[in-house]
Amino acid sequence: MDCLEFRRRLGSEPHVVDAEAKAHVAGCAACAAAAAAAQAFEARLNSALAVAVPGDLASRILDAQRADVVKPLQPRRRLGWIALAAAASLLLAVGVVRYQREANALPNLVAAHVTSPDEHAALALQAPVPRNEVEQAFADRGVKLAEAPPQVVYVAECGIGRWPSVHMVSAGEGGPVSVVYVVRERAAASKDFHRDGLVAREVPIADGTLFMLAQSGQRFDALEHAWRDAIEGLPKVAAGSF
Amino acid sequence: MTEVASQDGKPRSVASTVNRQQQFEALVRAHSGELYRYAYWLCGQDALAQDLVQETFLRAWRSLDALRDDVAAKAWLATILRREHARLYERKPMPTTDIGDLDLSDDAPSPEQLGEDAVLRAAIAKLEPKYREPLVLQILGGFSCGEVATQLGITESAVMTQLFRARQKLRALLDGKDTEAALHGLP
Repeated sequence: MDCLEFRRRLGSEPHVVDAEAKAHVAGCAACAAAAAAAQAFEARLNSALAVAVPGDLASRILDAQRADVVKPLQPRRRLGWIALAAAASLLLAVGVVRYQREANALPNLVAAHVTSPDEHAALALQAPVPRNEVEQAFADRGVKLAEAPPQVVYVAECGIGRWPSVHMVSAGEGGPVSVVYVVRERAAASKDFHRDGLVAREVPIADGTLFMLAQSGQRFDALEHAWRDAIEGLPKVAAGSF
Repeated sequence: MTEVASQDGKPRSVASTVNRQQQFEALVRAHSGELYRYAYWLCGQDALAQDLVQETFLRAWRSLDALRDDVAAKAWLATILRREHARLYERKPMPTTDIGDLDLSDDAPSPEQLGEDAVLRAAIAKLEPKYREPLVLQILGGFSCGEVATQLGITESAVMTQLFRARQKLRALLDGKDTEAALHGLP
């Protein structure tokens, strides 16, 4: 190992000193001094990077987690949603007839579906649907969720045109968002668009397409991210230890 | 045995639920601080960093059963956080104006140290993300070059190069020198 090689190694891993490096330092006073200077610089870096951590951060995270714990299953809710889904399907049929002259494109059908009068009731809901009901709705459509789905206040298994779908509503700051996952019909690319006075986005996820429609697109990025994780899975655990 | 509803819809014993909660609380208390610092150096904003860390832990809680090795927890959390940041905030440039406004740690550093840290922080904030991120992972996270490579999805040799250049650029910014030989004091 020559001086330049040692200095390069020192620049990338100041704390790693293998046998070869040790041997070099033992015989090179200049590099020994450089190693000492590098260690001092690392200490400065450590100090600068250690920005102050908010004192109540851990407590606030735990409070948020406790609020996130799903309530026990509420069996009656599902029957209500099935009825709502049936009504939605009926309105969908009306919607399809109404719009088929204009366009049969899937985005138009989804927009028609979520602007039906029933949607107003769903958009006003606040109580979260138990997670297993959301998972069941996807399972019924042949989709096994890889991760916990984002919280929704409404879920129904709907047919949109010839496409089976899971229709949901997500409540939150910025207003409710109608979310529809159409299975086995993957859009070519993500696209933002406007329909029926709503801001909308379609996103290909797995082998289907996620549609989001709302008065504002403020929450679209976060929801897209959350649903992609739920359907496609979280990143794998990285190797190594901390 | 008493059972309760679980996140995945399967029955879970009360003891198991308690253990899961305890495991999660231990993770939060052990890693929230260093994850906040990692988040801060990713986005450069205190509020966003806190949001990122909270969202990271909520996602981790929902998928805690997937974590079978506590030793790998920090790397797992860092991966979630990094992905969260990439999805939500990567298009926003890192602000440099509030770097010097941050409170420092509780260890009551001397005024000289405060000034030195502020200068270094400004220099770190000026680094391109491709140099800053591996540096933060290595120094704050204690990751090896191989582990940083896994986190970032690049080769280990690329990580070593970026770490070397990150330090080179920092020292150049601080010392007004910009050549490798000059930085090393070589002729």
